[in-house]
Amino acid sequence: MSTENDDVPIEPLRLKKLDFAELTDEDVMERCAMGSEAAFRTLVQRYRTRIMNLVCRFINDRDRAEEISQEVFLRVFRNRERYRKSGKFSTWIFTIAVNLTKNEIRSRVRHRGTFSLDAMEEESSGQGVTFPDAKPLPDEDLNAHEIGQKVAEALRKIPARYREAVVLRDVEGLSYEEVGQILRIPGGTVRSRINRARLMLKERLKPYLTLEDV
Amino acid sequence: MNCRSAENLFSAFVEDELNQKERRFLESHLLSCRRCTASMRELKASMDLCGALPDVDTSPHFEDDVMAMIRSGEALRPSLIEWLRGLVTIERIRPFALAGAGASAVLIGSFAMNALHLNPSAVVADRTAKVHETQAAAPSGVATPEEVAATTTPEPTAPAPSAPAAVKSDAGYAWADHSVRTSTSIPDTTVPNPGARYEDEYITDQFFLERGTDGGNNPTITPVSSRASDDVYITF
Repeated sequence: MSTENDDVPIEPLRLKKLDFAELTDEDVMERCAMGSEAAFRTLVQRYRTRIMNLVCRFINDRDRAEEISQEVFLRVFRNRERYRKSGKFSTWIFTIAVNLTKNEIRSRVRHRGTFSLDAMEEESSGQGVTFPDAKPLPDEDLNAHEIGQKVAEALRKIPARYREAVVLRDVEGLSYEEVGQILRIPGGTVRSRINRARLMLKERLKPYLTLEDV
Repeated sequence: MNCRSAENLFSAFVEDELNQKERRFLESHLLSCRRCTASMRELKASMDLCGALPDVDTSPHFEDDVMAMIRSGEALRPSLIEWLRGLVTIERIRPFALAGAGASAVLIGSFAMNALHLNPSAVVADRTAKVHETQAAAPSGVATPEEVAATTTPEPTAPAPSAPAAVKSDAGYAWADHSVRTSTSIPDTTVPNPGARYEDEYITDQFFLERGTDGGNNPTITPVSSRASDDVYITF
């Protein structure tokens, strides 16, 4: 039995592949909470370098920083249903990263005997233990990579509470408000810590600064 | 403005977050202080260096490692803190919170009742004591200490077919009857403080009105002498 409809070619069902690149982090996270693996992969791709950067600036251990960064994403996945879209995803994931990194620093301080001098400085917040600056090298001898190392070293040597604020602001480029939310400190404290951190960094980096174009 | 307070404004100056007044003060200070001017330039340069730090890349298999840990399920076991947080979700806590709130309300209510002397049995005993104080003060009072002691613990009796029969009793004659009547079919007796209902029905300290029934459902009001020994009562 044939009908008119049999003659009409059936159009294949076209499902437009969702392009996550067009979506905000919050929208992607919402889809991740609904169980989309692709959405989760998108978030990993968007944030893995930023999270790795952040953790690496906090602790002086690249391998461990990668493990912590992976743990950050696993926590995002585990707690995907707890995420509320009203908050910024970047604030949420950076808060997780900062908390995990702080735990790592505390753990290192607790096992100080098996850890490096960096942990001692974490504990003393840079006040009890003094680290003499490395002998400054002439500017012309330093390439960009070496300057980067000096900056990273200077960052590691300022007290943790100042470092976390200035890393989030100057390295990650977050707003003062976001920094305050992540560190759970008021805006005035954020500003004063960042200013203090910059002054400390300036003192440590003075030998490497080129002021011609400032 | 001195150098120290100027230094506190450096970051805000670089990020253009100063108000007009602060900016004017700082600029005038910088014009006169070469040290602070140099310090400000150094701070700006070090900020630029921090912002230009090269990225620390993850390993090429970073994403695959994360996905593998998720698929294996091993990495999805919640940490202790996450597990504890899962235990104290609102949905889990709500029944316990409601039960606790109910229990607290009952406790607070009972404490409040005690504090306000609203305990019915305590009020009855209190009223009984007051009556006997009145009797003792009266010149023709005949209540002996034994009787007073007996009336402080009124014993419930069966509902009397007529009030006078109860009034004739030497011990607990009035208040005992009232307490009994609280359990009869008279609607007003559901009030938890039966004594209070009769307080405004005193005629004198010798007489008061007593409510009762005539054996059926018809209520009666009986003026009664408060002294048992008088044995005087009127029923109408």
